[in-house]
Amino acid sequence: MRVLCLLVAALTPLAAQEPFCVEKGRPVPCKPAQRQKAAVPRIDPQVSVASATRSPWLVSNGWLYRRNPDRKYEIDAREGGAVRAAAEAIAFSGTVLIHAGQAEAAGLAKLRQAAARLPRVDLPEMADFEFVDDGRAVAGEILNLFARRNMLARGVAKPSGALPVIRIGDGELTGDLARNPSEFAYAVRQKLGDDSRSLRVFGTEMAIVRVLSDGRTARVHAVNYSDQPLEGVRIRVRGSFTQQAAYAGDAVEDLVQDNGFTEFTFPEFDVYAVVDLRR
Amino acid sequence: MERRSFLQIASALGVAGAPLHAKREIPNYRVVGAPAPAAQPGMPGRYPGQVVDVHHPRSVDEATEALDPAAVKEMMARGMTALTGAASVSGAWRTFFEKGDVVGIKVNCVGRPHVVSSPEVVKEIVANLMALGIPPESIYLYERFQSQMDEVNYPAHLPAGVRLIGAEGRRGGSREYDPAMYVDVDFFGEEDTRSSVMRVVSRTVTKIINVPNMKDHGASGVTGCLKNIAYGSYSNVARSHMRGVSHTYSFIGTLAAAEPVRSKTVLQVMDGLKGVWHGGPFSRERKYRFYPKRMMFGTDPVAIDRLVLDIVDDERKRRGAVSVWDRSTRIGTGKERDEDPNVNVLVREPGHIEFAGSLGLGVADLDKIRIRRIDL
Repeated sequence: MRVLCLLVAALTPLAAQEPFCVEKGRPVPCKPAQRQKAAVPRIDPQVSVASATRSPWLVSNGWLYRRNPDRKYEIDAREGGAVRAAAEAIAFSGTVLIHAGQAEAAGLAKLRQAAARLPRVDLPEMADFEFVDDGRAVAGEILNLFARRNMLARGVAKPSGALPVIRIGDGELTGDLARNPSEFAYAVRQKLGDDSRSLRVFGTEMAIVRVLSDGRTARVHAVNYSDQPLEGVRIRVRGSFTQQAAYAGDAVEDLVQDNGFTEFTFPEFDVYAVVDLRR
Repeated sequence: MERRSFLQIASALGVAGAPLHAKREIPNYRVVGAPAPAAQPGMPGRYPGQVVDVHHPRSVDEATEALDPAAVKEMMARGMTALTGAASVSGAWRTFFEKGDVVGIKVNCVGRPHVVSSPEVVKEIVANLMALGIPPESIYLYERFQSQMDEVNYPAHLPAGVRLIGAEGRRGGSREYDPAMYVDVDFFGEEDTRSSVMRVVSRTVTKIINVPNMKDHGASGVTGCLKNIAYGSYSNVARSHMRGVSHTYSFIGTLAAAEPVRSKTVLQVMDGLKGVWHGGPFSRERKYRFYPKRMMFGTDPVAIDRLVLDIVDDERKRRGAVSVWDRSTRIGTGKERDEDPNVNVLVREPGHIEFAGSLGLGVADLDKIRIRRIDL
């Protein structure tokens, strides 16, 4: 039996899928590098965290990629979740090496094709406010919560003056409140007001969306963290856009402009959808 | 596109100072995308404050829980003619429907398979619509969850061509909901603040028949006409209850009063042949089922629900259970609730019926409801 186990162990690498690498959001051949471990993105049903909502707990890395854009990560997704991990890295411009199982080879190939079709653009990240990130763990967790709630925060060391500033310790956003990042994020949301948020997501709490826009063109990435396809996810994004080009997922539906915002529906997607909107 | 906030509705109706509401914090509802109401909205409709209550002792075999189709047919004929004053059954149905109508039937399948909008009742409704010349392809049974509808298996009882729509094939899917018509509200800090009406309601049917059951409901006290048409026609409604608190008090009426639901829902057929006195809206335990053997007919959902409230509560009292009005009910888990009728998972909100009345959906005052009782 021991011989058999050794034999299986020896053969396993031959059957494994080649790692999938993403650099700054683009699939690339893998190169050796020092990497920091990151989690397999998923929904964690076991986590019991005090929360202002009963929203599912999404384990995601998008905020991490945005917080540390030059850091290289590594994810062991051989047990599953590799396609989602890759989609998340593409959506959030991450640099990551993903160990994948053979079962996800087809999904990764499809994702690679979708990413290859995606035109290279240089669009700024849409943000509603700047969050002063002092580098502490609690600040990171708050950035995580902002991302999970699709609140468009730009983490900064020093405010630029271009956007409203959110800082732990300002007014009602006390240090005590920050110990519960979920409550803190909700307090910020109330301060902003839902109507003035540049991004809203309806029809699911399982998706995290990233928006890049210069006002003339917007790129909207959506990553599904659940194991079921998402149907009818409705997006509201700042800007009036009338044309669309979908690169992953079907063409969006029910595209309407309303009062300086555009709304549309991703009809159905498994893990990743991305659409470019133009005026 | 935003039409109004709830507070504006309340103000216009002069209800803000009503004693019951004064104690409540009403969330800030926004009804978005709603079309203009009909000249005479379906609720409270042609017969506000009127209920025809038909009882047939042989309609249900309590041993087998089987229905007697002949009894159901007779109850429906007598109920509809009594409601409308028409000389014939077809004349009664013609009061509400005509050949060109596309008719939605809002069934309730939550208590499947035992306490649902009975296939025998639905079959009789379909037969009466078809007798007016409405083709089966213009009749839509709808419910939120396809899987619940599948368990009831309506097609086995209905003519070919009748359409069935379950909005959510996969729980949570949103494609069958209309993104342009919704009620927006933030109850507990949830991210998705929209409840959108089903497309079949907003874009397909011209009229709706509401076919609820008589059931206890852990959140709203009872579920009858109002809850079935409200929570059964919109997405993302379960978010109104959390950690022992329920906003059903104001949300049910607000959803039912929003157009086009209010205008299109022209007839209420309460299937009270079998009922649930505890553990609703589900019916997992036979010990909590009872057999009112009644059907109610009307256009006023508030009046019917006000009667249903007493029927369910009286049954609870008869069984030694606390009233649905009791706000000190012990709060427990779902399992504890299923084992003990004096435990609930939330504080019930039976006041939602009176609140819906205050929105103009009907008459909640028992002294002002005209009941015509028919015993067969």
